[in-house]
Amino acid sequence: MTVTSARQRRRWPGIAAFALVLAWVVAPATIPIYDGIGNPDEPYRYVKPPASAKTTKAPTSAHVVVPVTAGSSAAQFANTGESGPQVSLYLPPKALQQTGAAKSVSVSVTPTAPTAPLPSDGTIVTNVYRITATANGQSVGVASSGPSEPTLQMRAPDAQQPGPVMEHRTDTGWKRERTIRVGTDIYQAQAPALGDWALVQLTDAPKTGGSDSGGGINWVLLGPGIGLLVLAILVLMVRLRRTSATAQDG
Amino acid sequence: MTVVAAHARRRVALEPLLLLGAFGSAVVVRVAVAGPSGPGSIRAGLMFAAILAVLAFVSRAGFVVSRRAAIVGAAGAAVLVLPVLVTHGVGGHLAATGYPIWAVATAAVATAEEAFLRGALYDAVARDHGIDAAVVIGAIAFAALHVPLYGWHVVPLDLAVGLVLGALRVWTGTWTAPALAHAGADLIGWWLV
Repeated sequence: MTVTSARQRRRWPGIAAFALVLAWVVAPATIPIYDGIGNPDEPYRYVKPPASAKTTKAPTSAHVVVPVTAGSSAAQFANTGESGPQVSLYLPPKALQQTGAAKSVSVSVTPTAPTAPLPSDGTIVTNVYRITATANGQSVGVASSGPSEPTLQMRAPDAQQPGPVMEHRTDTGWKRERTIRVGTDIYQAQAPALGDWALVQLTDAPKTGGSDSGGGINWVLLGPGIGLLVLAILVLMVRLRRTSATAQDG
Repeated sequence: MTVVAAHARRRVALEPLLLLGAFGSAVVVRVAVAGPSGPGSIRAGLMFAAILAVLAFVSRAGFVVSRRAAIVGAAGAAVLVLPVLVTHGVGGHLAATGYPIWAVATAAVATAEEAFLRGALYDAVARDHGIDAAVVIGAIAFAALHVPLYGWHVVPLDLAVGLVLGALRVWTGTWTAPALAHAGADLIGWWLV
């Protein structure tokens, strides 16, 4: 049994309420993150919905002002407002090019409909998100490749596997980036450039079910996971029994 | 301090580490079982809940039902959904047909998470490191639990929600209040998406 002082009882609700308000102001997200089992995402919001899509509200943009100190941009991130966000952009420190005398950089992520030229290796399954950064009316680019590159996460309209890959528009067409899946339908890539980004379902990738109807178990993870779990429970039981016996003896 | 008491204290001090290790393993098992379904997998969610319930039971997390806990828990749920209502309004995008099964499973998972995080783990950490550490470690574990399922962007808000749930535990002295708040916010959440 733990003893809680009256001061702690008074202090923690205040701290928690402040933290909750701060989190909503600084990093607004949406209700599924409270979950025990994933609340379904709201249907994907398209700028130009396919015929089979449900009627939804319009997709949202994300805006963030990145402070600049001594020419270096600070860490910052921006989420769009859907539940869950259709785009999350993380800018690590020094992610953006030096901006001279500017004290801040304005970064925007805006949904647009796919327009030609389209990717040659597949079909865009999301909106095209245009990421721009400006300081004093001048366009600002990504500073360099490597650890300070921005990280971009995009939510796909569904969890079908193999999933889509992230591509961005270049002068010569769409370029595929190394994409990792970080959530049910969320994909992440390092962004060597701002500009237009989208999730592209590759033409040569066969679709399989992403349902909960069996299969899909990651046995490589499951084996060690269960082994460690059983070990931890056994050690915990033995220790608690010994502690209990020691307490009784004492 | 006697030698016997010192030994007992060392054993108790390891309990939070063992619980955190078991919790990490449970998250790995959940992710592995979910496969491509991710957080939407009810099968994986229920397995995760069962593991956490076993851990809470083994650790003898006390279960107290009181009127005060119920009222505070309901108020906690309201506090958690209020920012969503203010910023997003009522969504109503999801059909009611899938709700009953989802609701039962979600309530089970939320309750098991709280029995473990604000019950077993809280007690173990608080015994050795105090109430404040118990609240903070529980909140960090809560936020970390969601990263493999949703990605890093959920961390700031989940950390704050973990603190709110921890505060409810501090306030009422039982994990049933945060369990009610957590399950309540989840169940209402369906209608807000």
